[in-house]
Amino acid sequence: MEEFELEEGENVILSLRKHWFVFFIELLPFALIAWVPTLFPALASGFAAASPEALAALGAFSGANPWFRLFLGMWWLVLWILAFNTFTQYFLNHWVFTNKRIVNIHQHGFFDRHVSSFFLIRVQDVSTDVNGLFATLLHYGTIRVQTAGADTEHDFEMAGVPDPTRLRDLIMKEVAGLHDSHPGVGV
Amino acid sequence: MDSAATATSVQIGPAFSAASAYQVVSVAAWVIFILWALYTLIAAYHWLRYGHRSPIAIPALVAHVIVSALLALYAISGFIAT
Repeated sequence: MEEFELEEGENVILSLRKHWFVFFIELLPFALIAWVPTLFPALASGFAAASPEALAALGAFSGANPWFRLFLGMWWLVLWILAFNTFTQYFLNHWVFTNKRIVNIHQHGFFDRHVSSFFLIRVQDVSTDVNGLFATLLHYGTIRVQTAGADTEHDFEMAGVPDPTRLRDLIMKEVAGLHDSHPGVGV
Repeated sequence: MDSAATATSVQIGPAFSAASAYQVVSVAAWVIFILWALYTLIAAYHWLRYGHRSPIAIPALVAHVIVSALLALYAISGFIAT
Protein backbone atom coordinates (compact mmCIF):
# COMPACT_ATOMS: atom_id res chain seq x y z
CA MET A 1 0.00 0.00 0.00
CA GLU A 2 1.44 3.38 -1.00
CA GLU A 3 -0.65 5.44 1.40
CA PHE A 4 0.05 3.67 4.65
CA GLU A 5 2.32 1.07 6.15
CA LEU A 6 0.93 -2.01 7.79
CA GLU A 7 2.04 -2.45 11.38
CA GLU A 8 3.57 -5.63 12.70
CA GLY A 9 0.91 -8.31 12.96
CA GLU A 10 -1.53 -6.25 10.89
CA ASN A 11 -3.08 -7.72 7.78
CA VAL A 12 -5.61 -6.47 5.27
CA ILE A 13 -9.00 -8.18 5.54
CA LEU A 14 -10.96 -6.29 2.94
CA SER A 15 -10.66 -3.42 0.49
CA LEU A 16 -13.93 -1.81 -0.42
CA ARG A 17 -15.40 0.83 -2.71
CA LYS A 18 -18.85 2.33 -2.83
CA HIS A 19 -21.63 0.23 -4.29
CA TRP A 20 -21.77 0.25 -8.11
CA PHE A 21 -25.27 1.71 -8.05
CA VAL A 22 -24.02 4.80 -6.21
CA PHE A 23 -21.52 5.27 -9.03
CA PHE A 24 -24.28 4.70 -11.61
CA ILE A 25 -26.42 7.42 -9.98
CA GLU A 26 -23.45 9.81 -10.13
CA LEU A 27 -23.04 9.09 -13.86
CA LEU A 28 -26.72 9.50 -14.73
CA PRO A 29 -26.71 13.35 -14.95
CA PHE A 30 -23.90 13.21 -17.54
CA ALA A 31 -25.92 10.80 -19.71
CA LEU A 32 -28.98 13.05 -19.50
CA ILE A 33 -27.01 16.21 -20.30
CA ALA A 34 -25.34 14.41 -23.24
CA TRP A 35 -28.74 13.43 -24.60
CA VAL A 36 -30.22 16.97 -24.59
CA PRO A 37 -28.58 18.34 -27.82
CA THR A 38 -29.75 15.29 -29.79
CA LEU A 39 -33.30 16.55 -29.26
CA PHE A 40 -32.65 19.66 -31.35
CA PRO A 41 -33.16 18.00 -34.80
CA ALA A 42 -36.39 16.41 -33.58
CA LEU A 43 -37.55 19.79 -32.29
CA ALA A 44 -36.69 21.36 -35.65
CA SER A 45 -38.83 18.85 -37.53
CA GLY A 46 -41.61 19.40 -35.01
CA PHE A 47 -41.59 23.11 -35.76
CA ALA A 48 -41.68 22.47 -39.52
CA ALA A 49 -45.41 22.05 -39.74
CA ALA A 50 -46.12 25.06 -37.56
CA SER A 51 -43.69 27.52 -39.06
CA PRO A 52 -41.39 27.15 -42.08
CA GLU A 53 -39.43 30.20 -40.85
CA ALA A 54 -38.74 28.46 -37.54
CA LEU A 55 -37.62 25.39 -39.45
CA ALA A 56 -35.13 27.46 -41.42
CA ALA A 57 -33.72 28.87 -38.19
CA LEU A 58 -33.59 25.50 -36.47
CA GLY A 59 -32.12 23.83 -39.55
CA ALA A 60 -28.72 24.75 -38.16
CA PHE A 61 -29.25 22.13 -35.44
CA SER A 62 -28.76 19.11 -37.63
CA GLY A 63 -25.95 16.62 -38.09
CA ALA A 64 -25.39 17.95 -41.61
CA ASN A 65 -24.18 21.27 -40.21
CA PRO A 66 -20.43 20.99 -39.43
CA TRP A 67 -20.66 23.69 -36.76
CA PHE A 68 -23.40 21.78 -34.95
CA ARG A 69 -21.29 18.61 -35.15
CA LEU A 70 -18.34 20.56 -33.76
CA PHE A 71 -20.48 21.79 -30.87
CA LEU A 72 -21.93 18.31 -30.29
CA GLY A 73 -18.53 16.60 -30.39
CA MET A 74 -16.98 19.13 -28.00
CA TRP A 75 -20.03 18.94 -25.72
CA TRP A 76 -19.75 15.16 -25.51
CA LEU A 77 -15.97 15.33 -25.10
CA VAL A 78 -16.28 17.65 -22.10
CA LEU A 79 -18.99 15.44 -20.60
CA TRP A 80 -16.87 12.35 -21.22
CA ILE A 81 -13.94 13.95 -19.37
CA LEU A 82 -16.23 14.87 -16.45
CA ALA A 83 -17.70 11.35 -16.39
CA PHE A 84 -14.23 9.79 -16.53
CA ASN A 85 -13.25 12.07 -13.66
CA THR A 86 -16.20 10.73 -11.67
CA PHE A 87 -15.05 7.19 -12.42
CA THR A 88 -11.50 8.05 -11.36
CA GLN A 89 -12.77 9.43 -8.05
CA TYR A 90 -15.02 6.41 -7.55
CA PHE A 91 -12.11 4.08 -8.16
CA LEU A 92 -9.50 5.91 -6.09
CA ASN A 93 -11.79 6.42 -3.08
CA HIS A 94 -11.90 3.33 -0.95
CA TRP A 95 -11.78 1.86 2.50
CA VAL A 96 -9.25 -0.68 3.64
CA PHE A 97 -10.18 -2.92 6.57
CA THR A 98 -7.36 -4.49 8.51
CA ASN A 99 -7.50 -6.50 11.72
CA LYS A 100 -6.52 -3.32 13.62
CA ARG A 101 -8.09 -0.35 11.86
CA ILE A 102 -10.22 1.04 9.07
CA VAL A 103 -8.33 3.24 6.61
CA ASN A 104 -10.36 5.79 4.71
CA ILE A 105 -8.69 6.88 1.47
CA HIS A 106 -10.48 9.83 -0.04
CA GLN A 107 -9.56 11.55 -3.28
CA HIS A 108 -11.22 14.99 -3.12
CA GLY A 109 -9.80 15.96 -6.48
CA PHE A 110 -6.53 15.76 -8.37
CA PHE A 111 -3.57 16.38 -6.05
CA ASP A 112 -5.92 16.42 -3.07
CA ARG A 113 -5.88 13.06 -1.32
CA HIS A 114 -6.79 12.42 2.29
CA VAL A 115 -5.90 9.24 4.17
CA SER A 116 -7.21 8.70 7.69
CA SER A 117 -7.20 5.73 10.06
CA PHE A 118 -9.76 4.68 12.62
CA PHE A 119 -8.46 2.18 15.16
CA LEU A 120 -10.86 -0.64 15.91
CA ILE A 121 -9.82 -0.78 19.57
CA ARG A 122 -11.72 2.52 20.06
CA VAL A 123 -14.97 1.19 18.61
CA GLN A 124 -17.93 0.95 20.92
CA ASP A 125 -20.81 0.51 18.51
CA VAL A 126 -21.39 -0.02 14.82
CA SER A 127 -24.75 0.85 13.29
CA THR A 128 -26.08 0.45 9.76
CA ASP A 129 -28.62 2.49 7.89
CA VAL A 130 -30.28 1.14 4.75
CA ASN A 131 -32.66 3.80 3.54
CA GLY A 132 -34.71 3.80 0.34
CA LEU A 133 -36.04 1.40 -2.30
CA PHE A 134 -32.84 0.95 -4.30
CA ALA A 135 -30.66 0.68 -1.20
CA THR A 136 -32.94 -2.04 0.15
CA LEU A 137 -33.18 -3.96 -3.12
CA LEU A 138 -29.49 -3.68 -4.02
CA HIS A 139 -28.14 -4.04 -0.48
CA TYR A 140 -26.14 -0.90 0.12
CA GLY A 141 -26.22 1.66 2.88
CA THR A 142 -24.36 3.65 5.48
CA ILE A 143 -22.27 2.38 8.37
CA ARG A 144 -21.58 4.52 11.44
CA VAL A 145 -18.75 3.50 13.70
CA GLN A 146 -19.03 5.15 17.11
CA THR A 147 -16.41 5.65 19.77
CA ALA A 148 -16.99 5.64 23.52
CA GLY A 149 -18.16 8.86 25.16
CA ALA A 150 -20.33 11.75 24.11
CA ASP A 151 -17.74 13.16 21.70
CA THR A 152 -19.03 12.36 18.22
CA GLU A 153 -16.30 14.34 16.49
CA HIS A 154 -14.19 11.26 15.89
CA ASP A 155 -17.02 8.96 14.84
CA PHE A 156 -16.59 7.41 11.45
CA GLU A 157 -19.16 7.15 8.67
CA MET A 158 -19.07 5.22 5.42
CA ALA A 159 -21.87 6.00 2.98
CA GLY A 160 -22.90 3.83 0.04
CA VAL A 161 -21.08 0.68 1.13
CA PRO A 162 -22.24 -2.66 -0.28
CA ASP A 163 -23.77 -5.17 2.12
CA PRO A 164 -23.51 -3.00 5.27
CA THR A 165 -24.91 -5.70 7.57
CA ARG A 166 -22.17 -8.18 6.68
CA LEU A 167 -19.60 -5.42 7.05
CA ARG A 168 -20.92 -4.45 10.48
CA ASP A 169 -20.66 -8.09 11.60
CA LEU A 170 -17.11 -8.24 10.23
CA ILE A 171 -16.07 -5.07 12.10
CA MET A 172 -17.70 -6.24 15.34
CA LYS A 173 -15.96 -9.61 15.03
CA GLU A 174 -12.57 -7.92 14.64
CA VAL A 175 -13.33 -5.54 17.53
CA ALA A 176 -14.29 -8.48 19.76
CA GLY A 177 -11.08 -10.27 18.75
CA LEU A 178 -9.02 -7.17 19.65
CA HIS A 179 -10.69 -6.81 23.05
CA ASP A 180 -10.11 -10.49 23.77
CA SER A 181 -6.43 -10.21 22.94
CA HIS A 182 -6.00 -6.83 24.72
CA PRO A 183 -8.33 -6.94 27.76
CA GLY A 184 -8.84 -3.55 29.42
CA VAL A 185 -7.55 -1.58 26.43
CA GLY A 186 -9.71 0.81 24.46
CA VAL A 187 -13.19 1.49 25.90
CA MET B 1 -16.94 56.63 -49.18
CA ASP B 2 -19.75 54.58 -47.72
CA SER B 3 -20.45 52.74 -50.94
CA ALA B 4 -16.73 51.86 -51.30
CA ALA B 5 -16.62 50.48 -47.77
CA THR B 6 -19.74 48.43 -48.41
CA ALA B 7 -18.32 47.05 -51.62
CA THR B 8 -15.08 46.05 -49.88
CA SER B 9 -16.87 44.26 -47.07
CA VAL B 10 -19.08 42.40 -49.53
CA GLN B 11 -16.01 41.25 -51.47
CA ILE B 12 -14.03 40.26 -48.38
CA GLY B 13 -16.97 38.67 -46.55
CA PRO B 14 -17.19 35.19 -48.14
CA ALA B 15 -13.40 34.78 -48.44
CA PHE B 16 -12.92 35.85 -44.81
CA SER B 17 -15.62 33.43 -43.61
CA ALA B 18 -14.05 30.44 -45.33
CA ALA B 19 -10.57 31.24 -44.03
CA SER B 20 -11.69 32.16 -40.51
CA ALA B 21 -13.81 29.02 -40.15
CA TYR B 22 -10.74 26.89 -40.82
CA GLN B 23 -8.62 29.00 -38.44
CA VAL B 24 -11.23 29.00 -35.67
CA VAL B 25 -11.59 25.23 -35.85
CA SER B 26 -7.81 24.74 -35.94
CA VAL B 27 -7.17 26.98 -32.94
CA ALA B 28 -10.11 25.54 -30.98
CA ALA B 29 -8.99 21.99 -31.74
CA TRP B 30 -5.42 22.72 -30.56
CA VAL B 31 -6.58 24.45 -27.37
CA ILE B 32 -8.92 21.58 -26.56
CA PHE B 33 -6.25 19.01 -27.39
CA ILE B 34 -3.73 20.69 -25.06
CA LEU B 35 -6.28 20.86 -22.22
CA TRP B 36 -7.32 17.25 -22.85
CA ALA B 37 -3.68 16.07 -22.94
CA LEU B 38 -2.96 17.85 -19.63
CA TYR B 39 -6.05 16.30 -18.04
CA THR B 40 -5.15 12.85 -19.39
CA LEU B 41 -1.58 13.09 -18.08
CA ILE B 42 -2.78 14.10 -14.61
CA ALA B 43 -5.47 11.41 -14.57
CA ALA B 44 -2.95 8.78 -15.73
CA TYR B 45 -0.55 9.83 -12.98
CA HIS B 46 -3.26 9.38 -10.34
CA TRP B 47 -4.44 6.06 -11.76
CA LEU B 48 -0.92 4.64 -11.92
CA ARG B 49 0.24 6.17 -8.63
CA TYR B 50 -2.82 5.36 -6.49
CA GLY B 51 -4.51 2.58 -8.45
CA HIS B 52 -2.52 0.01 -6.49
CA ARG B 53 -1.43 -1.77 -9.64
CA SER B 54 -5.04 -2.50 -10.41
CA PRO B 55 -5.71 -4.42 -13.65
CA ILE B 56 -8.40 -1.83 -14.38
CA ALA B 57 -5.99 1.14 -14.55
CA ILE B 58 -4.50 0.59 -18.03
CA PRO B 59 -7.77 -0.49 -19.74
CA ALA B 60 -9.53 2.54 -18.19
CA LEU B 61 -6.89 4.92 -19.53
CA VAL B 62 -6.92 3.25 -22.97
CA ALA B 63 -10.73 3.50 -23.07
CA HIS B 64 -10.48 7.18 -22.11
CA VAL B 65 -8.04 7.89 -24.97
CA ILE B 66 -10.06 5.92 -27.56
CA VAL B 67 -13.44 7.45 -26.65
CA SER B 68 -11.91 10.94 -26.54
CA ALA B 69 -10.29 10.45 -29.96
CA LEU B 70 -13.57 9.22 -31.48
CA LEU B 71 -15.47 12.21 -30.08
CA ALA B 72 -12.80 14.65 -31.28
CA LEU B 73 -12.88 13.07 -34.75
CA TYR B 74 -16.66 13.38 -34.83
CA ALA B 75 -16.39 17.03 -33.79
CA ILE B 76 -14.02 17.98 -36.61
CA SER B 77 -15.44 15.57 -39.19
CA GLY B 78 -17.52 18.32 -40.78
CA PHE B 79 -14.42 20.36 -41.53
CA ILE B 80 -12.24 17.59 -42.94
CA ALA B 81 -12.11 17.70 -46.74
CA THR B 82 -13.23 14.44 -48.32
